[in-house]
Amino acid sequence: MDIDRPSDPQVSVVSSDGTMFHTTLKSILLSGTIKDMIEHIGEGGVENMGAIPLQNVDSKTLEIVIKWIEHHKDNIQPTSEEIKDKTADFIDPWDENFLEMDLDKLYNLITAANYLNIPQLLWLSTRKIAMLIKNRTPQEIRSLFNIEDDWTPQEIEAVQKENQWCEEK
Amino acid sequence: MEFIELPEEILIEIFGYLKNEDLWNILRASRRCAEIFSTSSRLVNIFQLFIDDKTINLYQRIEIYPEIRLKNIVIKYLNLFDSNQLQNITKIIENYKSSILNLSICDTAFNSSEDFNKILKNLTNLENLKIHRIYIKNFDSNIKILLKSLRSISIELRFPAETRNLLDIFKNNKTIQQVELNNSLILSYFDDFLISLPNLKHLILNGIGTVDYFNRSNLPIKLEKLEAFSLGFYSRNERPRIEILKSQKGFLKELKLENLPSDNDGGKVLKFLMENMNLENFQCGANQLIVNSKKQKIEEIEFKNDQICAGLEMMRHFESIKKLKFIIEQAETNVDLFLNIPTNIFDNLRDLEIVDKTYNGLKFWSYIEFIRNCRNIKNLKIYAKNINGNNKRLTEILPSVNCIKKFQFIDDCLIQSC
Repeated sequence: MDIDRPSDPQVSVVSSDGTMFHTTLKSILLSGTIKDMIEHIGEGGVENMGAIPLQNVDSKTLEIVIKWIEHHKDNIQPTSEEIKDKTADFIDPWDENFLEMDLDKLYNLITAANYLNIPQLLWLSTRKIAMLIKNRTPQEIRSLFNIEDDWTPQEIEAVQKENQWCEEK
Repeated sequence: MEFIELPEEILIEIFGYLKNEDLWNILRASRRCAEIFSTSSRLVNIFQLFIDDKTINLYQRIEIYPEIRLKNIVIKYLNLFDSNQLQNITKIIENYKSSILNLSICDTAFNSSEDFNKILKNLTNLENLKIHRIYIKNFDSNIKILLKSLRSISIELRFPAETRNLLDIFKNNKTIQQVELNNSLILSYFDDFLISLPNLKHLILNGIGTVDYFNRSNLPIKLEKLEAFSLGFYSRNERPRIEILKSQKGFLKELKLENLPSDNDGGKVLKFLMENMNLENFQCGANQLIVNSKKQKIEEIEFKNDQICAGLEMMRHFESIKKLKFIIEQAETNVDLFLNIPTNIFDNLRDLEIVDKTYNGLKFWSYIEFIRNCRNIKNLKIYAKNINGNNKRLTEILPSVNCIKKFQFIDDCLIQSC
């Protein structure tokens, strides 16, 4: 190893709205997308490559992502394939706490984790949404996620008619 | 950003975590969700529409969603004597008649064969049908159901007459390749049914009720794959079970047995299976003994009662076995079979556990003799309900048994080496 080179060099990333963030190489390599970029230029060129632009992630979301990757930089991360077999039996309490955020932030975090290819973060955040859907009626789901009821009036009428028939029984 | 604006692959990912009922609720929440669901073959494959007496009224809306591709429907606990319920179910099935591949009808009553036929007759793409514990009040033997794509059928009925009636409905089907029979007493009509299926390759017999099927010298059909609870018991009609196996030799490629062959000829049966049948895949209990025609390395086995002979044959065949657990639940089990065998088959054994749930004190001394034959064991556990009272004698004897120099009594039932 080069004695003058820090063991975990600093890397800079720039959000879509132009804010620059600094983190470590070890943390940023949790992103499959950035890892591919760095492998392309060679790790030796990390110090000289300048800030990495991330066009699809805004500064608020990037700040959250960096907080997560810095916390998990020393953990072995599962691959996308390993994630498929993962059960939701145990979630790290730190992650549970980390995901306590409003839905808008959570949606942005999901799309960022998807774009940056961070399988574990994507799994945690999508699972969080699934847990919110659990045990809710269609109406409750609509109001929680602000989903428009896109049934046509004729369809709704047909359903009401059917339900009326059920109630009469 | 809104939930519905999340990329399609993300929504599919989220839906994939949901169980049936929750998935059904999100599909009903919006047309967009239902459309996304239908684009994912993974979700369509795993989703089961479960219709029972409690949920049948929830599915009214399904009618106006014909774009949902439904592959799997489970119908359970319905009384279809009620014409309204029958009409409702028939309408649901009719809506999805071309997409349904797997249908289960369990614990459901029909007034007539005609009503039963109403549900099935239009399922042109149905591949797998499960009919468990159904009741047809007025059976009409003239009604035959021809399902052009049916590949497998699974049946469980309580009474032989009902089973025969139901099998008659599906007789002579040219597409059925797999038949599963659960917990049913098998009589001659089952042979008639199997013989009538020209493309049958795979037979599954589940539950101890099906064991008698093997008490014969020949099977009426040639199978490529057989799954069975057990290959039956030793026949006192002087027709060893090997005769049945001989009749399948050259045809049977895969065999899965839930239990080791029992009785005094169990060892011979297992030996024949291992050495003469040229099986490509052979699974016995939890152990894969042969995979892709290669004998596997087995490290531990468990057998019980009258499986001793087959268990000992396992020890002969698989030198890799290091751990053995033997369970005795039946007082008449002849444990002396352990004694008159070449001792070297136990040389690789390191862990031995004997669990005796009977109160037959005499067996205990046979275990001690057996343990003497296991020259290299490191860990021993004997659980027997009759240890209490023998402690003093055991304390004298056990230290002379090979490696068992140190041991302890735990409670009144357990001896453990340490």
